[in-house]
Amino acid sequence: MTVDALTRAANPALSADEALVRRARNGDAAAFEQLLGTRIDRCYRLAWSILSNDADAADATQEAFVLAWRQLPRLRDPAVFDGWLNRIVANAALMARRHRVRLREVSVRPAFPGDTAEPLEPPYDPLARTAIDNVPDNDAIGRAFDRLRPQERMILVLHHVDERPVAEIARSLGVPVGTAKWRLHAARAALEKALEAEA
Amino acid sequence: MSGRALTDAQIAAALRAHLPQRAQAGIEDRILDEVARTAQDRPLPKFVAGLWDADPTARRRYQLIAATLLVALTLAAVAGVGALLQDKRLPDPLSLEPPTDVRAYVVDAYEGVAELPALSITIVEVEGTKTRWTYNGTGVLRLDHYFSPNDPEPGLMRLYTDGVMAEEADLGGEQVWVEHGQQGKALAELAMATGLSTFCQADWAYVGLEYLIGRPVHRVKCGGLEMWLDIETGLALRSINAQDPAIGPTIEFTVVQLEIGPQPAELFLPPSDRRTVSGDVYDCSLDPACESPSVEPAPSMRPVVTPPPAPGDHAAPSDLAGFIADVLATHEGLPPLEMLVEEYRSPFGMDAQRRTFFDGSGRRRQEHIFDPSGARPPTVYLTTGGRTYESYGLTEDGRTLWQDLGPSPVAESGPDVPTLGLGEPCSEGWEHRGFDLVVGRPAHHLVCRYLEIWVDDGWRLVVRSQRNPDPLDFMTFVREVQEFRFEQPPAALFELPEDAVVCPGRVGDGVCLDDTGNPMPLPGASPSPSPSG
Repeated sequence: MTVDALTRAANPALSADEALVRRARNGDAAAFEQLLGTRIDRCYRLAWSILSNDADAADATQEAFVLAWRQLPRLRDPAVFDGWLNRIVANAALMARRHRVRLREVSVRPAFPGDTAEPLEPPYDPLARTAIDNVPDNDAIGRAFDRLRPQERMILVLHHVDERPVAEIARSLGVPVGTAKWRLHAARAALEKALEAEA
Repeated sequence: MSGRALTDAQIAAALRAHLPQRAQAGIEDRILDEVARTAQDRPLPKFVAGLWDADPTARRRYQLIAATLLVALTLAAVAGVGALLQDKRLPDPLSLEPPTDVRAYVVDAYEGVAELPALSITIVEVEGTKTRWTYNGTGVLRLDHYFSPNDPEPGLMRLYTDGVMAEEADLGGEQVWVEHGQQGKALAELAMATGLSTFCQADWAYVGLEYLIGRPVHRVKCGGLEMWLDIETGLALRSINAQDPAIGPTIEFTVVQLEIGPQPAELFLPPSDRRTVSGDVYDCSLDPACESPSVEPAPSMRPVVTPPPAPGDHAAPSDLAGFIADVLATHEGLPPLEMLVEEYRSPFGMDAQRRTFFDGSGRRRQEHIFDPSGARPPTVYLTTGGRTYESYGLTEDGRTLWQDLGPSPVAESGPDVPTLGLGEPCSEGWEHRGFDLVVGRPAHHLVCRYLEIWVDDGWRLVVRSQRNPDPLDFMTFVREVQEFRFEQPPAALFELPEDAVVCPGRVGDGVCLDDTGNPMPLPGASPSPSPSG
């Protein structure tokens, strides 16, 4: 028995979730509803971190859960359900974002020199804060977060907000654990740098 | 990097405040309606089903098995032909023999990059850019980056040394040489540039001995990752990382030139006609609100202090796996306690402390302390009455502000004493290295490659962990129990203050926020929940 398996065996909540995944995999919609109920906020937050928009995040979350339901019978190892689900959500959100960016590239191109297109990210107001604050407040960190690339925001949310293990994050992102660690380090550095610009 | 160092808990608290805590109302019903109308894709029978597993990692594993079977059949078929061709191959130094442990071979190749001699190497990313890397053999790595493989001149030049990345940049119309500090190991950049990676969740497989740009390489494969590892340097001369197409494109690097030997010294010097400025100065120049470069507190440059050996005789467990299982089980069912864990990253510091109180029956208080002087209050996570709350300072009228994080699942009702990595899979197997003194008590010293764990001999609790850097990394992460008491903490610690203002959703600066991020009228003081018993 591996340490991983021992950890799972010692954690009844994990085992209970795996049982739910097995039942949902067999077509039990009530079990899927339970899985949905305990994960929808987290998945919505992940989608929102990529899309920064309630309506788009809701659409991406819905699309991801329906896809997960459809493909669930093909998931052989229930223990990897969360990483697998995160990946579907992230993918749905990234696809939605790409689609949105393409739409904006076509529809909001400036008509005349000097016209400005709608920015893809929240606008940066350099005069919003004029003094360096030694203790960054949540708002400043939040604004700095908005400046990051979607992939950076996503990995920070998975690690710092949802407290997902790095191995699961790696599975969610479809990258090796070492790469996930490096990306996390880089995202954190980017956040600190963006915070500096916010100060 | 010149940004302000943030602690994990600062980031977590800020992001929790910034991001929506709840999904939009109605989504769950919409999803369930859609699910009720959607048929599941049923799998194909048994082994064949694995080839279409919904989880890409597992799917690759099964596809690898199928491919291996196919390769085995093919090999059997061509064995006779291979034997005939054998005498045309180069005679074989031992290094041309297939590695017996492919995973270990890949890890050795990766770590061997830290010992590279002087060389130059040119890498083309398929449908991407071209980079030329030159290494002087003594710690300075140069990157010339061509934005297109056909560009005659590089668009960017950088020099890397361990901890510093320097590049040319425009500073108010003047071309300057900018040195960014607190970077990683220089040669880690080169390993990444070739796509060399050690991790794969599937099994590594040896594909064969091949020759690329006239050099012998071992071709290895694991899931969607395939690498051609240069036998002499360990670098990947070609790599293909075939991610799930739905996630992203396949990433492919190919080395088109590799030359081992001394490189011209002048390549590793910054431009002589450029003024050198720090990353702080440069970053400040980009920020209209920055009047002068930030003065960061000097890194603590804290060394790692390892525990001394424990005096006396202690018996190592005869069944180490069983011992670890016992320790993990112990963490699941602890009596009332109070503990203080300190964490730091060496050499740069970034210290924090976490004090945990547990009443033995589902109520828990964790204080995340970033300023031991007490000038800045800790962030408190309080699990009581089946819910978890997080402290957010004070409201304008001086009441304490908390965010309701929602019901606390059964799995989170324990003391949450961290196992500090003991629960991670260890493919090499844990090794027992003896006994050391931690918090003045004998502790088992367990090692799994770069992770070291100390388990208290009497308590059966993890009391220290040390994650050492691999040769291409630089930081050591230490977490160590400083204080530990098995005693019932005061009941008041597990109750919200009488004047607590509890926000049901997001929290702003001293106020509760609604779903759209606008401040809400402050609710009245919330009564403390009744003890959960």
